[in-house]
Amino acid sequence: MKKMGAYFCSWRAGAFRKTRLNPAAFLARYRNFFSGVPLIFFFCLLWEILPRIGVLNPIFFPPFSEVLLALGALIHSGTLLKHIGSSLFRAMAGFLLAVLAAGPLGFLMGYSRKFERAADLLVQTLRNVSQFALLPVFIMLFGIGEISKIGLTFYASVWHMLINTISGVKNVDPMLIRAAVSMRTSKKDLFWKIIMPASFPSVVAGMRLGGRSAMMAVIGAEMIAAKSGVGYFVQYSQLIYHFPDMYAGIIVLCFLGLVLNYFLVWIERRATSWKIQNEEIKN
Amino acid sequence: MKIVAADVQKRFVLSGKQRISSDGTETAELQVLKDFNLQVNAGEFLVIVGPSGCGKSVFLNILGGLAHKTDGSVTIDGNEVTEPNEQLGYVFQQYALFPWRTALSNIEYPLEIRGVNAAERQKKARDLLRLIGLTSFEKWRPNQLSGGMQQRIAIARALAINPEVLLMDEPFAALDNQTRELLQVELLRIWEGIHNTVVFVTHSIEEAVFLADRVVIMTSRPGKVKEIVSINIPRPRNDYTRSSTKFAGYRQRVWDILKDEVYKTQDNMEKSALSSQL
Repeated sequence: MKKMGAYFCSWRAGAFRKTRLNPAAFLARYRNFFSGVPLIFFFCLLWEILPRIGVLNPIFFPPFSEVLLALGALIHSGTLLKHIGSSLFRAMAGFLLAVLAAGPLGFLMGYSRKFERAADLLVQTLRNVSQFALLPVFIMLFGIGEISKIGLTFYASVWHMLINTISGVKNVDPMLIRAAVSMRTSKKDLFWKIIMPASFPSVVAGMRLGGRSAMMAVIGAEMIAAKSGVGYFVQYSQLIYHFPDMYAGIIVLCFLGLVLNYFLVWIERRATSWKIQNEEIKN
Repeated sequence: MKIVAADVQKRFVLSGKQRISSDGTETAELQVLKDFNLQVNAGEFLVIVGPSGCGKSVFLNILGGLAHKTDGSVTIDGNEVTEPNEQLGYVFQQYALFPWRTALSNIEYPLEIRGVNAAERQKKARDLLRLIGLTSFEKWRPNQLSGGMQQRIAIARALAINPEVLLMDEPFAALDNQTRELLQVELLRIWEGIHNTVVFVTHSIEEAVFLADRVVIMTSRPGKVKEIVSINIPRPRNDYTRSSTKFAGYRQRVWDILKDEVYKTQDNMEKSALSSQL
């Protein structure tokens, strides 16, 4: 793993030179983001107005400002943070376990034709089973506690990573392998110095997809069987008619998803910077 | 190092749709090299030219230990080639640089896998970067560099182990004409400093005559050596060499030998195109 760390750092060094941004450059860099702001604002405005003029029932669709107030109160009281904490913990635990399992297995399957041929059908079958269909099985096996939900998260994210790792290894440019072999690269070096770094972008892309799925699965599992977590909180608020709280929970989920996605994209861009053309990097 | 190829045969087994041979008949095998005989002297710059598909790159692959011959013998200093030789540098048409490594660490790679310590291999790599005139690009990655720069780095990488044999498989074919001529001059300048054995494959007659001590002309498939022309143009050669009458004479001579083979290849391609339409 030390070796991988070194690659990671060296990738960063060349591609993303730190530049001091003036405000105009800052706006230019995040142009896509800022040009999306008006529409979000308009959406929130509709959310505020429609319940107030009676187009939507304000009981079921409280105005946006009320939801924000509820959100503020929930954050202030610490309730929401507790739920966010347990959701994130489950997602992370399942995700990391999936990384640990999918990494070595994916490299093995990508590397050995025989092993892949033998395992492919099983993998394709298992990955097409919805994780929620398996929740009863997980609960039966591990009870209603943390393990069943972590297991579910694991199941939801492991396949993306496995498939991407396999295809990353299989799609290493054969030209690079020929070049390495012509220089008398040993089997061991071929794996660590060529196949690993060459397939890393694909592995990271799989981690991005897997991370998303882990988050989604956690929310779903919490809605069905949990006593904590944001998914549980949304579900529970609905049951007890605390609709502003419910929407506050949904906003939190949306926010968590956005942050997670941008974070994973950011990681991916860094890991794959050597694939990006010079002009793109300079912008 | 001295290279001897004797009666080399290379056949590919064909499957399915590929079974139509170039003259329209069905075959199970494609004979690429047939009775291929060649000697390369130590310290010689040898260029192989031939019509496309004649097996010149296949021979280079066999010599480099990247492909197996069907029959015959290929030896480097008397040792039969079964795997890449330790004293071998290989330059490919598609550069084949490792895109996640910087220019410097690409050049370091062959030393790194040989266990040379970091300080020593960096020094060597920097020397080579200076030799190819890319010192200020040591931290750049391949996809930030032009094709010509990438191929210079690939050549430097091949030279990092001070190879006694340098194999070059159409290394300048993907470059524009001006860059190609520039790199030819540069390659000769570098080679004249080390004078190792070079086997260079190309389809360009000009390139062959400009670079070579001897030009090997191959027949159309199945390929074998048709004729060898010694190029007695004094070194160091430079851009003015290309406009000399001697150069023009050699170019014409090589073309005279080669053109029948090129026509044959063309004919066969037309025939097989027609037969596949039927």
